[in-house]
Amino acid sequence: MAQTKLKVINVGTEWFVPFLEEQGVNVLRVEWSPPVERPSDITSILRKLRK
Amino acid sequence: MEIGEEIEQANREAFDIMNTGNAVLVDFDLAGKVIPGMKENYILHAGPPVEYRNMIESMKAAVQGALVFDGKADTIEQADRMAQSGDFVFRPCHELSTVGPMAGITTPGMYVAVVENTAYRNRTYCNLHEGRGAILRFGATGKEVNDRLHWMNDVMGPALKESVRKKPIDLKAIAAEGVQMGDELHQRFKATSLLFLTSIASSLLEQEKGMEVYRFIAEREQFFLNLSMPAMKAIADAADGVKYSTLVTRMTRNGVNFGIQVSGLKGKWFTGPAEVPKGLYFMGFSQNDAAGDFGDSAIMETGGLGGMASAAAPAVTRFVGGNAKDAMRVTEEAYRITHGQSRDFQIPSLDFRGTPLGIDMLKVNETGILPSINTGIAHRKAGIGQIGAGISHPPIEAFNEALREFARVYGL
Repeated sequence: MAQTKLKVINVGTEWFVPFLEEQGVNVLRVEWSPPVERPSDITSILRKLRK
Repeated sequence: MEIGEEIEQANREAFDIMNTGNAVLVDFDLAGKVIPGMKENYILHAGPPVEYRNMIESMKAAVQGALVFDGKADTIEQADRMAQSGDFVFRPCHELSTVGPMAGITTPGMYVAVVENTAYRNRTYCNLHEGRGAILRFGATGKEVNDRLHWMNDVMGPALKESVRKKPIDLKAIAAEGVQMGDELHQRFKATSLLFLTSIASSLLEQEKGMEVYRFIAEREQFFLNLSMPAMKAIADAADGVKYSTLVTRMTRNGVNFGIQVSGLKGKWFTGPAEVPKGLYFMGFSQNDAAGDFGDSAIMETGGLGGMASAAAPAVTRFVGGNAKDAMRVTEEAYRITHGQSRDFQIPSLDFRGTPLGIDMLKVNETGILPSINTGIAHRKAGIGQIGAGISHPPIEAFNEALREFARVYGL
């Protein structure tokens, strides 16, 4: 087992986070989700709005 | 001004209207008398537009039962023929400032609650709550259903009218109090129905048949549903028609389609297929028995309640198969697709943070996150009624169609 204290970076879904935190592990949360699939014309309208 | 700034400014305006609107129960009367534009041959239904021939079985049966109730047909069979004849016009409740749970069938002869958003001077309407079991809104017909509807019209409606005439009731205040007492106001109304009953008790009990009405309301824990729906509609309607605004002002379903409307695209429906809700089924039923999601009650989520307020009501999440953390997650996720937070609906477990309010179509398109709607699940056959409770979502197609129209109208 690791001799040093475990540090965890959690990317996306936080399913495991509570289990780790219950064991005293420090968890850094990074919000991430898979890219959204959408029709190309919708992507194009959203791009224009972001300008 | 750049289009992005126009949208931001418009959304701030629409959101402020939604956030500062209120809802006061001011009257009860016949739909044909008080709903502006209601005609004798109109039949209002839940959801976006749908013709009689395309309605799900429960909604068709509710139309037939309503025609018998209204005295226009003697039998269900005759009512079915009349509904197909072309003599009646089927209109979405929403288009006449009205909402109705499940089938939402509202005819001119039915008593409705009248709610006023006194801050913006608009009124909305909703039929009265029948309870559970064999009820018209789930497509049940027959003597028991018809007799109850007549009692509601002849006894309860006039008694409630007399009560609120003396003392109008602040429905938004009751809803806000209820959120702090564990109601999310789409599945759970235990606190709000009691708060309403308490606020109307003294004026009811002064009346000759007051105890009869009091008992009827006390036995129906979702009684406040049919009052909170027009309350949320009164608040959302006021925010409709703000040019450039991308906030959603209507979400509703008819069992076939789910429809939304957007403030800056006033009056236009954008639809996609209605989901079969996922959730827990009562003993002996499964998803194969379920009808497509129906009812105008998604106005609750439009107004920042129901699924949006899940964190306030973990008991509901447990009922539909989740836990307290799931309830928190649903609300946390909803903040990502709303313009802001409700001033009045505060969630104690989130340190009194306001519920997510003002669903922004653009944020839904950007994130792919769909509003989570707490809903009752109806049997696909008419008259069997509720067979479970769960969660449904609007179809992303409706939001995509709305965005395409927004781009066309505003020259993107």
